[in-house]
Amino acid sequence: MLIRNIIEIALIVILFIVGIIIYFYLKRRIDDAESDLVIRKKKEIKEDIED
Amino acid sequence: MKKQYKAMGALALATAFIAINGVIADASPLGTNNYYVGADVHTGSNAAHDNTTGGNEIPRTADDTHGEWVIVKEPTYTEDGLRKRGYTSDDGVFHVEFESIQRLMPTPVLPVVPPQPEPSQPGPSLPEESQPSRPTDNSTKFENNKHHGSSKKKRNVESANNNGDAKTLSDKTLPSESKASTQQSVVSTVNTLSDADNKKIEKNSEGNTGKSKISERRAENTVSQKESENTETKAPDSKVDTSEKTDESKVTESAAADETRVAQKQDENNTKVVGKKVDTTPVQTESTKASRSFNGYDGVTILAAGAYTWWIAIVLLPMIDAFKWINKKRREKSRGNVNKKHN
Repeated sequence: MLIRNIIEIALIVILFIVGIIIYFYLKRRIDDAESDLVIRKKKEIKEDIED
Repeated sequence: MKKQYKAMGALALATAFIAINGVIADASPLGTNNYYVGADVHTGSNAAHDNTTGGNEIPRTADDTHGEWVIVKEPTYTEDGLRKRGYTSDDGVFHVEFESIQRLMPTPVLPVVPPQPEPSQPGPSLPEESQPSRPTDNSTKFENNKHHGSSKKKRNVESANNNGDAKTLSDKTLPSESKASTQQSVVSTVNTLSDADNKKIEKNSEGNTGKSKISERRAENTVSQKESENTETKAPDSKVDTSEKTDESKVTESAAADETRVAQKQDENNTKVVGKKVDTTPVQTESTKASRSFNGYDGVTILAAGAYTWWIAIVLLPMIDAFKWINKKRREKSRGNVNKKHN
């Protein structure tokens, strides 16, 4: 295997690892934010406002 | 969305930068000389470049692009070598052609080096007083080094010199021959040495006492020992002279032997250098071509980079945007201006 190929593969592997780390970090933060949210229908919200 | 497009463009540029060298090399004509695993291998072209011989030959046309020969196995004195080269036929298929290299000659012919005067061995000095029995170096040296004693000593010394003439002549011829030729010259000089020893033994047996017979029995020993024994029987005072002469003869013999070794080493080095010169250039060209070629690793790298770019654009960038939005809302909530617009 040539040095050029080794450098290419090493660069791709490093980028994959960095992307996976970022993905799991963001997923955790987003899950935490979504846990606080409650999905309600628009009608229910209007009824609450009218009441 | 603009940020996403910018990030995608940057990643696309990065992937293109990674693979651009291989793509350029693939487009270049040098890429046609590459070998790959599974290529058609033809070993029937063992004779020469003749296309007509052998049924395994692939018919070539004028459009074939032949690569340079690459030595697979070096030829030795006992076995033939092997070399290969690749070419592309009209079909665009790569082929590897093998050809044998003739084995090395057992006695490589080298240019004859003219004999040069050695500093350790001065040139042949002519006899001073018309004495044809002393044409050699050792005789003159011995005359210069001898003690000026009685006339018997001189006669003994002369007889010893006459006995050693043949040997000294052979010693003189040895360095020049060793430079000019190889082992054959060494063998011939050895033969001359043995002849000289035989002559000397005969003369000693005729002229000397019983101690010379003992020296005959020790004919396999060095010549210097024999000479020293002869001189000891007749003149005990000339021990110093004979020892000096033996030293000189030993020095000349050792010098001649060293020269023969040096000549043989030079011959070996010459053959090795020629072989190395034959080897290095094709290997270098092949390595340079291979480094510029587009191989499977480049393809895999490009595919991986594309998939990674797609994943970032579709998955990671929206997650980053969502994270930014969440942080923004948390900051607003902490400031107390949540739903400011609606209020």
